[in-house]
Amino acid sequence: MPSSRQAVAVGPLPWRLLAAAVAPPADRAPMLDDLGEEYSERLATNARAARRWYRQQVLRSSPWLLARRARLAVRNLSPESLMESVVTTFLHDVRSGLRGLASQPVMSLLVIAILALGIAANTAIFSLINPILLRALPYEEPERLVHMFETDVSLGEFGWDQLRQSLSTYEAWREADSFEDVAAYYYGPTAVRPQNGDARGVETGFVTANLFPLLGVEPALGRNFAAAEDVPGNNQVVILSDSVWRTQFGADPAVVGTQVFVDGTPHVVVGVMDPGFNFPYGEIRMWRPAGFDPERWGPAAQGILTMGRLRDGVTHETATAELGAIHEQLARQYPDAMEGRSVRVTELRRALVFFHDELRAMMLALLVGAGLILLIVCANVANLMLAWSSVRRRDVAVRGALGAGRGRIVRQLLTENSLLAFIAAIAGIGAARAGIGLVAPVVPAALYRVGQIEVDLPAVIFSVVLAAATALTFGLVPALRASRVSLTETLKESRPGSAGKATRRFSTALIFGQVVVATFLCGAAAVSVGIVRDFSNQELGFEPEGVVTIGMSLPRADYPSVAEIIAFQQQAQEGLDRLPGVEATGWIDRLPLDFATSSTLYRLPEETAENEETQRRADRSSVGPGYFASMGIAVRQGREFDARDQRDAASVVVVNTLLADTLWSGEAVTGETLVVTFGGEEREATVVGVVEDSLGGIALNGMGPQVFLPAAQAATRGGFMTMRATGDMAQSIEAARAEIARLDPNLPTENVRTMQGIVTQAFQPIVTVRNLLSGFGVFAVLLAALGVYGVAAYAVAQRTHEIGVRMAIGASTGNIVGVIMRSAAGIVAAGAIVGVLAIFGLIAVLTSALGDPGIPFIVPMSMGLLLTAVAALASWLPARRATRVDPLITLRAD
Amino acid sequence: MPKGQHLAEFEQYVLLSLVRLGDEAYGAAIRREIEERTSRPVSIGAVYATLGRLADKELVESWMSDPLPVRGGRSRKHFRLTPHGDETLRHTVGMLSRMLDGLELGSDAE
Repeated sequence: MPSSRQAVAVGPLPWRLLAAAVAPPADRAPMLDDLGEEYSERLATNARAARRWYRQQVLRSSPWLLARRARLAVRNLSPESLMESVVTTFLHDVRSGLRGLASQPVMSLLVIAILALGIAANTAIFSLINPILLRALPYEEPERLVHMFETDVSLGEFGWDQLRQSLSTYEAWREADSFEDVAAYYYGPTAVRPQNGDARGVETGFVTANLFPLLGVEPALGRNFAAAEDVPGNNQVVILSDSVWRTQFGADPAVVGTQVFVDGTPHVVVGVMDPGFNFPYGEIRMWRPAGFDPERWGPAAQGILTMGRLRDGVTHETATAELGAIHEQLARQYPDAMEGRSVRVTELRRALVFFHDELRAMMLALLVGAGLILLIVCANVANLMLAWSSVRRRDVAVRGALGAGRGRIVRQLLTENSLLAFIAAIAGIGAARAGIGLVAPVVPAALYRVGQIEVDLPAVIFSVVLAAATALTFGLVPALRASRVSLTETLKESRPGSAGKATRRFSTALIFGQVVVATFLCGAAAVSVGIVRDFSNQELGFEPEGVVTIGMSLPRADYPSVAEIIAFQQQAQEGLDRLPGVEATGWIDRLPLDFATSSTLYRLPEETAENEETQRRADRSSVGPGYFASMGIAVRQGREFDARDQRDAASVVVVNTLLADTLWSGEAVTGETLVVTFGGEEREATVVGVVEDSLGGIALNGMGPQVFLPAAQAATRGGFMTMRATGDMAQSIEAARAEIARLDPNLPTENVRTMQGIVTQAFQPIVTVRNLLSGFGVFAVLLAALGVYGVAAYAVAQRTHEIGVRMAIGASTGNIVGVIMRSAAGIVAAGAIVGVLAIFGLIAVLTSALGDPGIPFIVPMSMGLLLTAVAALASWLPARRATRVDPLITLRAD
Repeated sequence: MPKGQHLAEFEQYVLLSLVRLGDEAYGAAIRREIEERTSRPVSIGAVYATLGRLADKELVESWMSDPLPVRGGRSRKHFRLTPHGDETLRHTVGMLSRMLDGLELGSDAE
């Protein structure tokens, strides 16, 4: 019996080790004891048999024991128990984190507010960029979609060198091998009248029947255009946009197949598009088959926009090369029309988003601004956390002494930071949603976009990722520092809260960085204010106050000939002139700053057309009598157009001062002859007047040479009456509308705007960018001031004892304030200097890109001084407080 | 007895040996008891793995004996039935005997 057992682990070593290795820890010792006991007994009778027995026991036990261990392991690793332990620790961290935050409410709220503003700024800017530049185009395989342009280098920068095509070019491009398919479109205003309703002006896209299939788009109701409907004379069908369907057709689901009147002639509705669909841009609300008529679309009629779907694997370069070769053949066939033109293939988004490159630059500026704000925010918060963690060193040391590992302490501190960041992210997303309206005006409402400008799921993900990254950035270094606390040293310290040298160096670096970035941001804001000044009348070249514009498009059905168009324009002008308070009226085909332009080539008669040097391009407008008076554009020489300039009279032009100075160096120019080419037709015209320079259709193009033709000699169906009136604008608008309706009840008259409104709209994007950057600048200064204040206040708190001693031995108030302020002064000054240098760098970059923005030397310098002054004030406040310290109290505290 | 507390054959042997051994039920003794009574080689690992599983089901519990009264003597880990284990064993054995009631299967041993 086992009573004689000398219980120790005996047995052949390798098998004993194996048994120990496979046994579950809890069973290991008793099992080895049991084995040893029996082995000892057997050893007494037969040593070999005993060893064999032991081996067999271990070998036969192993599968059982391994299975048992696997079971135990699986049970411990089961998701429930794993989650339980993670959740328990996490909840504990969160609870104690919240306790930690609640113990410092002012500090916590400050950090959350600063972080939330940084996150809000970035989220809002991201939400703005998303639909314009980031979201995938809502078409089939959008990466293969391209837009094709002819270009004319003489049109200059900003991508305004892109020209439309003629029908023959489009048809030649359709043959190109690079493309699976090529489609064309153009757009313009038409009037739509439901069977029982009023006529409304609707911007309409005229598309080839293959365009929507090429995009991979189907109407939500009805069908796409059939090829048979895309021929002249058979194209009386329309597809409505969702918005027209809702506003003018009461969202009638049975609208497909019904009749509508488009420009007075009956058409059949064949489809209704999805709400999100906009092509080629947001204001196009209806589509009709282009039905190109070769009679109307001769080689000189270059008004077609062309897009295509590349074959799989074909690059933009290959396609450009092929179109270039086709272009050269066409140039031989139509030398006049193709003069000075080249080809370009661009991605579809770049072509559809007007101002794509300019918008991208503006948004990039905003994104950089918001990013810099976030950097300052991080530095600021890191500094606050650092000060906080220094205060908490004792707490951390106590935890360490009680056995908390470094990882555990770091995790605890990071949890606190993540909590702050998480709360800030929620607040930031809320603020971004509320503030999205502030940034939205950067993008003109009618612009092509994918979806809406809104804080959507990707934006929320963006800000959460941002918050997490921020928490790590501002949390990790202070957390690691705090966790590397020497337990004995800290616990022995009589006064808690004095920071080490390394911590102070890190904090100093953060202040330096903040001051640099804040100075730079202020400078950038000042520079943007410098570039985008408020536009006064002098800079516009016309006086928008008191001007009402009435857009109209005279349909072919009612006004088939040029004579009828001119007659109506004259009639309308006479009607408006009779209204009370009206001082002057006029007509123009394209309003200034209304995002539309047209151009003409011009030269002196003695210069040859072939000489490229002398082929110049000018902004071209066709204007009626009285236009310059109505717009307040001063006539410098000669006269403006009047009743003499009829269709069959001698050709005349008015030019602007810039053009006159270029060609004739400012001498008397009336009576000179100018050759202008447009629509493939060359015309010798006599200059009858010179007017002041004014901005053309595109504000960004600035002042350029301008040629004005009399409306009677260059008639257009679409255009604007301009009316200068005194008194109430709303009354003027109503009266004008009523007068036009009286003359032609079928003509839509809702496109009535004030010139002031058009100016505001044109400059709104860039003014908004300026305002946002200025806001960033102010915010940056405040943050930097806060950072400096925090560090100075912290320094005072740490040096209370020292200050007490100094004052006890007779230091004056001035001495103490000096000591405290000196602690921040050097680093602030250094930061300001680097920041000023960075502003000069920015100005240099802008100068090389845009020309001299005209920022005086004093601007960057004053930004540096501003920051230094703000920082000085921020460190003076705590320094003042330090001098109120009663030396007796501080010394007694020891 | 709760449904699903099914005892495997070897589990029954282990529980029955605990009943037989009483206070002397520790690993080696249990192993030997089953081996001798069933004439089947039994490994100590099988005994411990089964005891572990039975302990998980709260059918057995363990207790440590006083150290053996010799130099370097150690405590032994002893096992006994819990009340629940006792009930489960009775139930299983009872079912078996009711199934055997009135049957003549012949006997291959004893």
